[in-house]
Amino acid sequence: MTPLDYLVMLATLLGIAAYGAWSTRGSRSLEGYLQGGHSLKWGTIGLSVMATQASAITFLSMPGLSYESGMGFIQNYFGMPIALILVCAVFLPIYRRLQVFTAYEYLESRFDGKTRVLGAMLFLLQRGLATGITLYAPAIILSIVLGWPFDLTVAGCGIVVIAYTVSGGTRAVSLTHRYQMGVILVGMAIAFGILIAKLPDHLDFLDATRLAGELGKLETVSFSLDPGERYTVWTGLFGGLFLSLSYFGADQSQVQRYLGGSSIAASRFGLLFNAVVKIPMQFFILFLGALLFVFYIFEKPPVFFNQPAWEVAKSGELAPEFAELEARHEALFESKRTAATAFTEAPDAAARAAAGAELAAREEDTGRLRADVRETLLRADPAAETKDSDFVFITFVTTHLPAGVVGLLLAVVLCAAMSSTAAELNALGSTATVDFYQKFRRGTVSESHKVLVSKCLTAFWGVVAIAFALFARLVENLIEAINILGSIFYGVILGIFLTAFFIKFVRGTPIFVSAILVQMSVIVMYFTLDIGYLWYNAIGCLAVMLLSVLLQLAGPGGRPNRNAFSREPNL
Amino acid sequence: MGATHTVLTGPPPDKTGPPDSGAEPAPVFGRWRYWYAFAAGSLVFYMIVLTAFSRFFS
Repeated sequence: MTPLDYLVMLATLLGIAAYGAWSTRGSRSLEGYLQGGHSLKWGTIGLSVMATQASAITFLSMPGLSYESGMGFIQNYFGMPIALILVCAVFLPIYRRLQVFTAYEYLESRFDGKTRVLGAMLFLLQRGLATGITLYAPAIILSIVLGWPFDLTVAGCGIVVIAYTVSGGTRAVSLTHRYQMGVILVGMAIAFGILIAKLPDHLDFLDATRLAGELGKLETVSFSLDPGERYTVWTGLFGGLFLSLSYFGADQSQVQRYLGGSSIAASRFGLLFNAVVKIPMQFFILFLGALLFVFYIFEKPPVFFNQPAWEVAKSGELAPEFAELEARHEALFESKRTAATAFTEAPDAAARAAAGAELAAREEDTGRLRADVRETLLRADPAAETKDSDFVFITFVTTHLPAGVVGLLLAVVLCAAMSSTAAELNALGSTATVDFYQKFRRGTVSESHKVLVSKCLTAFWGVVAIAFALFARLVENLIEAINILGSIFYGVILGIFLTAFFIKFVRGTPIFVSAILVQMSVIVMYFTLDIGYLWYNAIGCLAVMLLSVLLQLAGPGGRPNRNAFSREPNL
Repeated sequence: MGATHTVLTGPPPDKTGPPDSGAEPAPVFGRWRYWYAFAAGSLVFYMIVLTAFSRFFS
């Protein structure tokens, strides 16, 4: 990295943070601090919802995922527009009418205090840990690739986020989101443009797309009913619907984004903006990965994209084997490039088919080589991380982009990390203040006191996130553990909310007991059954709804009246 | 009460009465149904385009 890169990166990050803190300073009321005084326009809400969801991993991992296994991941977003429509039609009007600060406040007015506390606790537990990972994941990759001190990267990002989130509250978070998202979109568009410009002269955009398609990187839609297939239209529509509904409807880090709208219409337009724009945006990021794959057919890639780890491994006892792998990689790169050139310059369909078959055979050889690389790395160090797809995009950025643009792209990654972290800290501080401090504190307190408490609790969660991110490095497979933790809790939380909205006769105690029993059962199921953890979203949700109905019917006065299952959501 | 959602102004008026009071409920989709249809239609459009894209280039 050149000094110009550092200048661009720091000026972008600190400039946005300072602007956010300065322009929103001095909130005197809790409503102003936690909901931005209901002053946010739909565009700000739309970008804020988008920035909250898009973490650094979105921009670091997605192109690598597409590079390695194609664009099928986009199907995971098919359930999101439907979920956002339901949030607009059902969740949002109720939150606005009750004028709640947090989603969990609604649970007290609908059920009782203990259900509210349970929902808030599940959120704090799951989101509190996940916020640490939001900071950890990009810091570990940037520290490996650029040699930055890991602890300093985590602490630096964390402290800047804490500063403007504590200072300006929800309005600062939403305003900074607007500019951070602008930097992200511009940066990714520039990276895309440079990648196209760097393709070989004999290869136009259409040829590059055909080449990616020939090697299976553009298979975006699968209608397969095979449960073993990871990404299909069906898992995207149904699994994605449950996941998105719980995320956008019952996760305070998103609920807080749209509750700050100047009107219900502004909030709805902001959410519907995401319903319409999210799939093209993800397509663009995944397509970037597919084109990177084509780029690295003609420009020699590293054998293993995590280069520092590779250099360490090949200097050990297995050095001759690593040298042999590098020789195989060199030969394979040349033969693949020749086959790809023959494919793009084929004079007729028959020649193209023959070249395509040759290319596919070389791609299979590449797959075998990568498997051998992983196996050798594990023999050299059984604890080695053999997944290198997270390093594909950042390798392209640091080795092929000009000075200044590298800094901008690193600002993209860090903007994404900071925007997600800020929204999460804002939500954690709000929930801790409203659902615990304000609920359990006796006597009246002034608005400025409540704002001060909220600031302190936001800072507290920021410190917890930094500490957890620093600790995360010491624990194996923690990221996956946190993802599993989220899936285990999300289903139960969504089940509570859907019961609240749609099954009128279920009251507080049955839903509370159901939620606890199902939560425990889901945890036991996780340790005893062998099913994909995403399914726990659906299982937890449906089990809570069903069990709460049964308990309500079994209890005294539990019979529903004729309006018990209304189309109209319940207040 | 009929359709209570106002398209470009503030939140709709509160529904009166407790949940089971028999007060006429506001429609779930209301006047926003066209915007919701637009969002749902965009999903269908994307699925068709992506399927065509996938078939054409594979």
